[in-house]
Amino acid sequence: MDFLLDSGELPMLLWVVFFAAAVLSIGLGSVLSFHWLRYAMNPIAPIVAVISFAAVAFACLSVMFGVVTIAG
Amino acid sequence: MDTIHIEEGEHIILTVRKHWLILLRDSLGTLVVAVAPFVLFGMVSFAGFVPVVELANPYVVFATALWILLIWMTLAIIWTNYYLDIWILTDRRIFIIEQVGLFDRRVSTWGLERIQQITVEHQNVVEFMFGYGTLTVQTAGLSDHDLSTPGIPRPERVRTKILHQIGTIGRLEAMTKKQSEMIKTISHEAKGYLARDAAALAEIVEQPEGVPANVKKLAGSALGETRRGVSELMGILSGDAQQGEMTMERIRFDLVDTVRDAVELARPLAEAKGLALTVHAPSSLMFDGDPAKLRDVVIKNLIENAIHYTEKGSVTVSVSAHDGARISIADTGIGLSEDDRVKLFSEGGRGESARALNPHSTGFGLHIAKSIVEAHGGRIAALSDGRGKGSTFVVELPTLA
Repeated sequence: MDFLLDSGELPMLLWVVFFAAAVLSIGLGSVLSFHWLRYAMNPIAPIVAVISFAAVAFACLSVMFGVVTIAG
Repeated sequence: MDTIHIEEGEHIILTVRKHWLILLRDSLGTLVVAVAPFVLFGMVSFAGFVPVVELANPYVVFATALWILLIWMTLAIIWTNYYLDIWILTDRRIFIIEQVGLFDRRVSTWGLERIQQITVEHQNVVEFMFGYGTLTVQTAGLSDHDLSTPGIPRPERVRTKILHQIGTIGRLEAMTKKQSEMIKTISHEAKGYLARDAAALAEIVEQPEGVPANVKKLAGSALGETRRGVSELMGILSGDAQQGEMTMERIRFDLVDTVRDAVELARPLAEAKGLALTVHAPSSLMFDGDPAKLRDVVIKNLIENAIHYTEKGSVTVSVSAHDGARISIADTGIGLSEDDRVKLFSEGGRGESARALNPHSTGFGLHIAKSIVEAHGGRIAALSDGRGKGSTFVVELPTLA
């Protein structure tokens, strides 16, 4: 890790990981939300699922973004 | 096919999702993997092998957030696969929906009438304790395979519901068969009486002399009615409308000739009431369909109805080409209220004054006529400006491809 810190590559790596995680969670979230909203028989369950998934994903990505910004 | 289509009149009886323990079992691996790094990290730090890293270290926070996000996404996929796997029992079919991964969704449908045997199995002590098991449905037919679904909660209850529903279908089928046989027996008996009446009336009508004119006229009218009754009973005896199965002929014929035939069949009835019965039609209009059913069950029926419900004035039959054909039967009779128009084409539906003016009406004629028109891909409608203002029945028949 030290050589990464010394070379200044770590912030860049964190940005790449952050963007990859953001793209993955948004993509997967879209696919899952489509399934929940289209196929669930209970009208409340998909809404709760979408909100829960988005809230946790948003919280994690916010933390990661905060770290990347500080490190950058 | 990835969605289910519940038919009109079909009711959902039971919706079953796999036991919650299945979700827990599937998630357990992910949860163990999720907490493993934290436990390991805590253990090695506690043992003093590595220095305790500050919790506020931004890189540890980043890695932790990333780890939680990945675990969260995995759990979401597992939950989706669990939540969208579902069994639906309706009063006619069983739907089995399986969500396999993110993009593969399989829907199988099984008619209850094909089910021969249902077995329930608890494969281990956990299943027995938590009250879930494997439900296996064996079906008839060479191409079918047994359907075995594990993880069904309270499978005995599901089996009982399915068996109960199969029993209900069997009872209904037997009852319908019995009713159909009874209708045919009664119709056959009644047809015999009506045929003898028709013969007697024909004898009176055809007498060259010795029968007063008014009696002859009355007998002629009664003969027309009796023949109509015989024809309707013949329709019942041939199966058709009562069984919900309509065998339709499809031949090319001249619709104008068919309409004129129907008019001529109804003319004695109009003359007996002193009504003018006129036809406006082109010389010819070719059409594909069942001429006998259109003539006897639709057009003649509508014309005779118009005559029955018209005390004075006229009945006018018009035929025109209109994206196929358009037949209208307009009368100067009692007219229709809004309520009449709504219930007119339903089974047994009749207008407010229908019973008084036409006590012999069964109320099924227009319903059957509507079925015939719809079987030709057309539509039938009743128009009226209100009570006492006459009515017009319109039949639109499209050109069949």
